[in-house]
Amino acid sequence: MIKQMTAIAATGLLLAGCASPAAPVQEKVLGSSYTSIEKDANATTVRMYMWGGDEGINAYIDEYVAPKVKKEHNITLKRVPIETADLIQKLRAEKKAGKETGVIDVIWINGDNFRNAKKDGLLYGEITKVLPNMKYVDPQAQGSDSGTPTDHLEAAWGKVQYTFHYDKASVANPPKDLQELKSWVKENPGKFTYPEVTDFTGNAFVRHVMYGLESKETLKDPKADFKKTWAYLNELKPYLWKEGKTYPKTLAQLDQLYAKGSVAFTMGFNERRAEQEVKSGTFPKETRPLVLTDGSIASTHFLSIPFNAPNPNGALVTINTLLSPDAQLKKFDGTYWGDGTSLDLTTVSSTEQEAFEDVPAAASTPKPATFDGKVRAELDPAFFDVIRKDWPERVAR
Amino acid sequence: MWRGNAWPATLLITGMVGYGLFVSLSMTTWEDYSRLFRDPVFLESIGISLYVAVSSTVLSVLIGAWLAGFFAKQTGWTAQVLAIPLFLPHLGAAYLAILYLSDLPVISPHEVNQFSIILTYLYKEIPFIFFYLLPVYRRLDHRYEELGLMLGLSRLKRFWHGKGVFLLFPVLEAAFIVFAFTLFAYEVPALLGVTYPKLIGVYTFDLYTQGDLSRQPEAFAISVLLTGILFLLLVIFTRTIRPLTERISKGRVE
Repeated sequence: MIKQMTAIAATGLLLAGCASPAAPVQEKVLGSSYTSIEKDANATTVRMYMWGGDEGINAYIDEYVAPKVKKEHNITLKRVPIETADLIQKLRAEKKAGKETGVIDVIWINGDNFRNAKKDGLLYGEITKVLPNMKYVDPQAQGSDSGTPTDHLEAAWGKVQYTFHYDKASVANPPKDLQELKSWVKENPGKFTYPEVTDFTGNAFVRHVMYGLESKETLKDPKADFKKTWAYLNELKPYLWKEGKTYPKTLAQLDQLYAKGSVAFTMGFNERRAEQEVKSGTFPKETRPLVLTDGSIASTHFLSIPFNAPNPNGALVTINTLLSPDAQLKKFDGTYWGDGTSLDLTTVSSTEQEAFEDVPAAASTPKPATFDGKVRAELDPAFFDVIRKDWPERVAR
Repeated sequence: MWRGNAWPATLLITGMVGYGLFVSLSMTTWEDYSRLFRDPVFLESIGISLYVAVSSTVLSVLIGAWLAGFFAKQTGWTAQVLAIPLFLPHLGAAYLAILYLSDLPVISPHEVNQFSIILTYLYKEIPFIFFYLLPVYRRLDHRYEELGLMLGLSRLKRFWHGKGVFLLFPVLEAAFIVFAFTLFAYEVPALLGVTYPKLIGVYTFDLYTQGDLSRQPEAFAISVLLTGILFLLLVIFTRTIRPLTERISKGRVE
């Protein structure tokens, strides 16, 4: 018996012994100058945990950003793919367990995940105050995250519009608004669907239906009964892919269906996201953008640092690099990602400004004027919750 | 049968389950449990999960036991082919289903009949049942059945006294493991399931992670409930069936 007890105790010790060396003190890091942060970040490893469902985005980090921070700051950047909601869950568990030194240095976050992280104190602190490149960032994008004040806890990384993409080869006359979309879906059964609402993009599709159908008063009250929205989605349901009996679980699955030609539409935040998919031959050649007259939600996404980041210095330097005009330009052009910049382009040098303007737009990217009068602000995160709660009962069931 | 020391494993597992149960209980109130039983989404989810778990368990036990009976008499390496699926994790088996079943009618993934999930479980659990029961079959003493024949027992009685009593408990053990696993598993239904109704493991995980996390207590309540039910089943097994089969096999009771 004694022998076994010792063995168990030894296993316990072994598990406990895995803890890494303590992270530097938070006040000290955020209180020091950027130059000294840069010095401390030299020759360290930064782990960036982020949603990994888009090959272009992954390639931007792995093939452009990682070599760049290695060269400029001798930082080894490691990207770890994870669902953002799971990431918040992990941090909450670590906070509860009192784990002061975690494993995550940089996170990619926005919307209700940011609201949850802020509420539970999962973020490092007022990081944007020490980052020199914040001077380029558009203050409007930086100010609030879907209605939650950012309070310097996160830095705006990109700004995008919700856009539908369709295959011109199979959609001759694309619908202009939600009513026409409904008629199209009825005439072409099985060729349209949207991700289920636990997915970021699927939830946003329902919010667009809300914007198109519900009154202004209803849209101010997350507790309202969104009858028109549920009725509309139920009318679509029998004509969706697989007769609406199931929905793609993630945007990645919807993109696969679109790439295979099973459905004729895909959708997502980021008006330029189809560019490199078309170029790489994943999406149909004749992929075209579609912005419904009912509006397109503008969304800003952010970078932040968790409360227990093992390498906050490296994280700060990485985020600062990601906010630099050249990294933003590479993110904006179609090579990897094609993500809208979070920078205020009047603050960058005129050559950089021109470089941004010279980025060619592919046929799958809407002209900037397409969004005139159609840009809608993101709804409060309370709406995300209502949709997640009610959609399974009132639509999917 | 393996007669090594089971103490460290028992202590470790009891500790982990016990602590998990304690934490889950402390996160829930009566209201959470009664809300669960008023939640139609939960009730439908539990119904469909039972359908998947029961069909997977019954089918894999029947097929696995038949295969074990068949190969127990054989020598050679053919049976080892069945070990291949054991090396593949459930997640990998689910991806195989996506790769090879996607374009087929009826059994393709994301169908309401959940056949692809059941097939994936069969692929994984039949070999498990097979290797669990193979040594039991090999140890069976065929002389019992011969004795029965000599005494002029009916076919059914011969099977029961010659094989049934020895097999009953190991079969139930293996079935219980498969049932407990398939009832609450996450990966396979997450990849192959439909949007509605979701299998209970997926639904619980959604409640646990999604949104403002206000529904987490319900997720804890579900896991307490399922652990409780499985534990009850286990107690019934060990308290009633094991003594019964032991008594019969020792010949004390007819």
